[in-house]
Amino acid sequence: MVTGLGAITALGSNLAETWEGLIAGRCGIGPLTAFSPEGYRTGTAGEIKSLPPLSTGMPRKRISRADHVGLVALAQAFEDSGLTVGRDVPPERIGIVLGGGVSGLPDSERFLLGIVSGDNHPRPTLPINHPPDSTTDLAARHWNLHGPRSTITTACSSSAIAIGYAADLMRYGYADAMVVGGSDVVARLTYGGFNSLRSVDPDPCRPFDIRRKGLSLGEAGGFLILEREDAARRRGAGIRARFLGYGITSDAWHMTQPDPSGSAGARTYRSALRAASLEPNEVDFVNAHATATPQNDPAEALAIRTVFGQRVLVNSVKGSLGHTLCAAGGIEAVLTVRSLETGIIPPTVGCEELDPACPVDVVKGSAREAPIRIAVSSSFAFGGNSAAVVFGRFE
Amino acid sequence: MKPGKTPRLAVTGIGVVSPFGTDVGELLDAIAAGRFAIKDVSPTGSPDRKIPVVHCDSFDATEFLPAMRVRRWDPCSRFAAVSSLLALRSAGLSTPGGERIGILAGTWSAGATPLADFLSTMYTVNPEAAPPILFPFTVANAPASQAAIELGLKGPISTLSHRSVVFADSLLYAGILLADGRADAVVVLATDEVNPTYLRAWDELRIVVAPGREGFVLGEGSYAVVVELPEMALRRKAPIRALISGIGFAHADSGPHEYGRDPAAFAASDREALQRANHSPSEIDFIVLSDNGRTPEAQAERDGLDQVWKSSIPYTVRWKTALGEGAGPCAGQAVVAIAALERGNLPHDRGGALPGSKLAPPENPTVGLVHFSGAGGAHFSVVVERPSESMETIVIPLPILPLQK
Repeated sequence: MVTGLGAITALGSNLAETWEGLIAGRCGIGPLTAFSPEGYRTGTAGEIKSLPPLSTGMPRKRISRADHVGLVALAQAFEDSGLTVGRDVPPERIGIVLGGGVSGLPDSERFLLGIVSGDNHPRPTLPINHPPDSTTDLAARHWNLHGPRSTITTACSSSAIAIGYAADLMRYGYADAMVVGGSDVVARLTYGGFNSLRSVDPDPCRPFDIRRKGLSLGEAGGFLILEREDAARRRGAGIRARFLGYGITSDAWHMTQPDPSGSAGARTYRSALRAASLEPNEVDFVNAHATATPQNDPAEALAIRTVFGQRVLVNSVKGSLGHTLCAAGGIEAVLTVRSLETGIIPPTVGCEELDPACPVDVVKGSAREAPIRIAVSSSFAFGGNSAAVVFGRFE
Repeated sequence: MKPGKTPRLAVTGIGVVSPFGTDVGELLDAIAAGRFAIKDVSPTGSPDRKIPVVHCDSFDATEFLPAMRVRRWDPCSRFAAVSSLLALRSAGLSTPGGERIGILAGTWSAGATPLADFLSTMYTVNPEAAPPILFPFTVANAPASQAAIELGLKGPISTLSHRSVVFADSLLYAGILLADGRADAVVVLATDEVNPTYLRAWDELRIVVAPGREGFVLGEGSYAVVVELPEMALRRKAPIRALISGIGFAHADSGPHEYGRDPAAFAASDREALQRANHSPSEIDFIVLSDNGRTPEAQAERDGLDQVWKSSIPYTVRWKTALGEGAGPCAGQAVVAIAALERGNLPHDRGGALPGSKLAPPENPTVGLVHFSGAGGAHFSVVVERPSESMETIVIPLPILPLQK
C-alpha cells in the first residue's frame, strides 16, 4: 500500500504545488541557472526553483544538492504518511531502496575542474557524495531505517526498479514498510552528454509532438512510503493507492537507442502485467516515459499500442518537469498515484500536434478527468534497462 | 533474526576477469602461491605520487569479443561482459535463452574513465568537443547493459550500488527474481576499475594505502556467477558448483562515508545468514573476512566473530591482499570461496589468519561464510557450501507471497 507521497520539482517545492502546476498545464522548464549554458545546444532545464531548507536535525555537513532534495522530499512523504519509525514500525522492519545516479556528481565535477585547471589542492571531500547510494545512507541514518537497504543505479529507470525491489523485499518478509523513490539534479556531465548525443531540444521539450527535437533535463525528488496493508490499516493510515507489481526487462538492443518496433517496451509492460496478475484491458492510464526524443516516443507509443490497444490514456509529465533521470521513476510514480486518487490526468505540456508515429490517446491541451482504476508508469533507460510499475486505486 | 527468506541458490557458472587472468583455477593457484599483481599509479595531477593498486593490465577483451565492438567500451564494460560470457559458458548456457536469463551488476567505479575523459574535454576544450561515444559509458549500468546486449540477455536487468556489499545484495535480489519466476538463471557480478582521477580523491581522503599510511589497496576486475534455483539446475542437469544457502545483513549506525565499527552489526549479519542457512556456528569450516587493512574495522569484525563463535572461531582468511578492495574484489572473495569449495582446499591467507582463529586451513571444507562490509555501515554475510550428494533433499519449496491486488 502507498501511504505517503513527497515531491519537489520544477513546478513546486511540494506535491500540492507540483500537482496544481501540472493540472494547469504549466511548464517548469526555463533558463538554466546551475552553470553557464555557453557552448551547449540548449540553455534550458527544469530546475527546482525553490528548494526548501533542511529541517532541524537533518544532516547538513558535506551533503550534495541531490541529498538535500532527497531529504526534504522524503520528509514530506513521511509527514504525509504519518508513519513514525519506532512507534508504528520497528526500525529493523522498515528499509529503504532508492534510485540514484547523478547524485553528488556536480561536486565531483568541481573537483575535476580544479584538477584540470591546475589547482593542486581541490577540496578532496567534494567527490565523497558521488556514489549513488549517498542519499540512501543519509536518509537511512536520519530516519533510523535499519531494515533492508539498497540503491538502484540504472540511469532513467533507477527509481522505478527501486520501487519494485523494495516491494519484493516486503513480499518476501524482510520488511513491513519501505521508503522508495529517488532524487536527481542537473549536472554538467548529463547536460553535456545529452548535448553531445544531439538529444536535447533548444526549447522546452514536446513529448509525442510532431515537432519534438529532444529532451529537456530536469531536477526532482519523488518518494513514496510503502506499507503492508494489515499494518497500514492497523495504524489507521491514509492509504493512497495499491502497488500491484512491476516489470523489469532488458532490451539487449543498443546503449542509447530503443528498439524501434516497440517490442522490447511491450515485453516490459507484459512483464508488469504478469507480476500484477492483470489483463491489458484492465489498465486505464499509462504515465509514459516519453522523453520527447525523436526515437523514444514512437517506440514507446508502439509498445503501448501493442499491449494496451488504443483505449488506454497516455501522458508524459516531462514537458512540464523535464527529464529528471534517476528520479524520473519516483516522481512519475508519485504523480501516477495522484491521478488514481483524483481521477485527473495532467496534460502533456508541449504536445500540440500529435505525431502520427505515436498512435496513442495522448492527453494534451488540458487535464482530463477519467475513472482510472489501474495505472502504469514506465521508465526506459540507457542500455535498455526497462521497468514499469503498476498501481491500483484504493477503494 | 529478522524474518524474511529467499531460496537457496545453485551456483552453476563462474567467470572472472582477475589480476591473474580469466581462468578460475589459475586465480586460485596464484593466490595460493602468494602472487601479487600490484603496480604503482600516479593520481591525476600528482605525477610524483605513487599509490599501489591491484591491476588487470594483462586482460585483453578482444580475445573473447569482437575487437570492433569492445574497443570503444569502458574498462568495466569489458570486464563485465567477458566475466558474464565465461560464467554462462561454464554454466552450460553459452547459447543463452534470451528472455529467461537476467543480469544484476554491482560496482563502485564503473564509468569512471569515460566520465573523467568526457568532463576533461568539456573543461579544456568545450562541451561540443566532448566525444558522444563516451557519454553512454559514463553511467554505472553500462557494464550490465553491454553484457546484456552482447550476450543477448533479455531477462531482468539491474545495477545496484551498495558499496562493498553490493554483490551480496545482488544475490539477494537474484533469489527473488528466480523465485518469482522472472528468470531461469541470473548472472550476478560486481566489477570495478582503478581510475587515476578517482584515485586522487581516495588518496587525498587518506583512505587508500600509501607510504607511511594504513589503508586499503584498490583493485579492479569482474567476478561473475550464474545462479539458478537448485531444482531448475537439476532439471537441466547442470553441474551445481556450490550452494548459496543463507544471506544475512545488518547496518551499523554509520555515516554514508564511514565503515561500520559496531561488532554487534557484524554478529547480527552472521547470525541471520547462519539461521537462514540452517547451520549452527560450529558447522562453518571457514570465514572469509571483509577486513581490508584498516585496523578499526578489522578489530570490530574480530569482536563480532567473538560474539558468535566465542573461543572457537573457525579458520579465517582474506584474499584482498591479492584481489584488492572494491565492489568487484569483494565479489572476487566470494567467487574464490566458491571455487575453493569445489576444489576441496582453500588458498592460504598471505595476510595471516586472524589471531584466535584456527590457524590451519580446514581439509576438504564444505561450508564457508563470506563477509562483506562497506561504507554506510553495511554488512552482509553469505553462507556458501558444497552441494550434498543427494541434492534433492535440500530443495525446499518456498512459499511465495502473492502480490496484493
